[in-house]
Amino acid sequence: MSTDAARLAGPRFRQAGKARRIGRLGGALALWLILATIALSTLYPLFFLVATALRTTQDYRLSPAGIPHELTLDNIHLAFSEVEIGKLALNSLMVVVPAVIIVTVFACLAAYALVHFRFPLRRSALVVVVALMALPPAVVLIPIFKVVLEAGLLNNRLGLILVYSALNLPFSIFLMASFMRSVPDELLNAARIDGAGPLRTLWSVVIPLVRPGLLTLVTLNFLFMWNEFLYALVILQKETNRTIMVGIAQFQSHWEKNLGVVSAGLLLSMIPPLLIFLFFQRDLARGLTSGAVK
Amino acid sequence: MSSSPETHALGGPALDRRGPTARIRLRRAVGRFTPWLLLAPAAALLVWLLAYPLGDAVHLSFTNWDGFSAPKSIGLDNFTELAHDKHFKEALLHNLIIVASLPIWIAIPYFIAWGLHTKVWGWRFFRFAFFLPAVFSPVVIGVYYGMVLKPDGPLNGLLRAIGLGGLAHEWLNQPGLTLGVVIAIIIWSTFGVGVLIFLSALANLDEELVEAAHVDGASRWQIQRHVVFWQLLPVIEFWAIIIVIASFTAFFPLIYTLTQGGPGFSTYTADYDLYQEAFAGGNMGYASAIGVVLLIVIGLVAGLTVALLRWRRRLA
Repeated sequence: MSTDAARLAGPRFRQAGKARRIGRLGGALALWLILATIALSTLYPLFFLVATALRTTQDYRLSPAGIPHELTLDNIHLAFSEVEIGKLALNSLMVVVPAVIIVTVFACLAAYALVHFRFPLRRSALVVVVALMALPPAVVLIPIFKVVLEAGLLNNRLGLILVYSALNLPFSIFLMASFMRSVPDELLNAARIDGAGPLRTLWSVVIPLVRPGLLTLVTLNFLFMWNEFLYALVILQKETNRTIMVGIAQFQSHWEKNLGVVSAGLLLSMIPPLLIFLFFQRDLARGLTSGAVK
Repeated sequence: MSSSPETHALGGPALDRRGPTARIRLRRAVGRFTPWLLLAPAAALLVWLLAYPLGDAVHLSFTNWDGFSAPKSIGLDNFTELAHDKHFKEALLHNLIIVASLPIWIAIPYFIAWGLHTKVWGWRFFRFAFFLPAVFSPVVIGVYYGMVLKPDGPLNGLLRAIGLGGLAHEWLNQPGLTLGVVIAIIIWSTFGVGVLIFLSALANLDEELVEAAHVDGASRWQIQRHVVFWQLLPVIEFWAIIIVIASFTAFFPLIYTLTQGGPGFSTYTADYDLYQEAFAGGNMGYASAIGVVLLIVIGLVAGLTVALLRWRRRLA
């Protein structure tokens, strides 16, 4: 509209068009500056934590936000020797790895049944899965705690492993089902005619085709469980087996005078999420957006 | 779409005129149970650790339970006490304030996604950077901001360094301010996911409609308001529901590490209250009642939000 008007009505309007273009350029620049500022705020934690972890406390006091001058590795050493960050990380892995395996296997089996078989109540089962997905974990904290308590699994890693598996299962089944829908039924029928049983078909036909989806599932679940706090705090209360996030939340108050150690601990606890972020960003994004767009 | 094993078995062996052998009959019987067997492990776990607890939450909310002895049934006492519980009401009020920030929570990722969708210079990098806080645990974010927002911390240092020392605050120790800081931090840590969701929705947009509107002489803003917005509405609804759920139940780790509900009770949230009642006060039954009330409130607010978004569509 504006370009037509400018063409028809001569130089005065062309001038206006130019002003408009400058205005748009200014708008684009303003947008870019806003985006850059936000990006700075989301990247700054990494800089801050690396800087604070690698400098002395005196140096930090001089300019907390600035560039470090007195470098030291003491904080990292203290994080390992005093905070036992390595042991905390191991505790977390001993919960997260089995739970991720359980969730992945159970979700694959269930999604396979829900997508590639016809049976009574199939629709209802899907509805139940979606409904459970919307259930916020905090709301059922007490009754889940009670189940774990009565099963004698309090302060036992198996308790947290099972709870994590259950909490992340609905979402995982949903995600896996959405990936498995793209596997054509003809392929499954062909495998069946060749005499492959259902498990064999799942393993040699379906799984290879949904491998990217599987990667999404594993990385996302690992991230959720590694970062989880509330259930870890409640179910593993003993100091010997608490997870890394619980350890970090509790040690911060002891080290208020030495933020370098706190930063070192935080940074070390962020290594697995950061690696996942760097190498599997696309898989994470696919997992997080697939629910919304489908 | 797919054929079940039975129908295949019926349609397949037309060559076999003598009828199914014993082995095939056995396979058919197993085939009928296959989907149930495949579902069994997941179903068992879900019933044991999710569905049953959900029902038990309602049961426990009518009891007095300290976590050691058997729960004692006390009727509606927990709920009448909740109605007069100053801390709980205050916490719920804070959660409602958090939910009231929903428009900001939607608008920020929406407009950023829109900006990135126009492929501004470096949009891939921005998308990457914005998503980063989403992979950090709320515990990490809480401890990090605990350091950054200290009175003599980097933020105030930065403000003083650029001559805005007047803006320096005790961010975590001012009753009116701290809740706002907490909300800002939560939005900061989640908007990247929203950007991703809206970006992928924009990528699936019906370009022809946008094109048609453009040809008809609609301005960019008009296209945005009348064409793009309505196409994205289902995705906005999805994002809104996630946020409503999160704003009642996802604050615990952040509050625990950042403010402990303080100063005073000014950043007390319902999920933090639930934990405190249960594990600091030993009132497990009472905490269950908080959970049940929360679930009802979440349902109401989520329903209301969706109704509001749909109602706007009818008006337009």
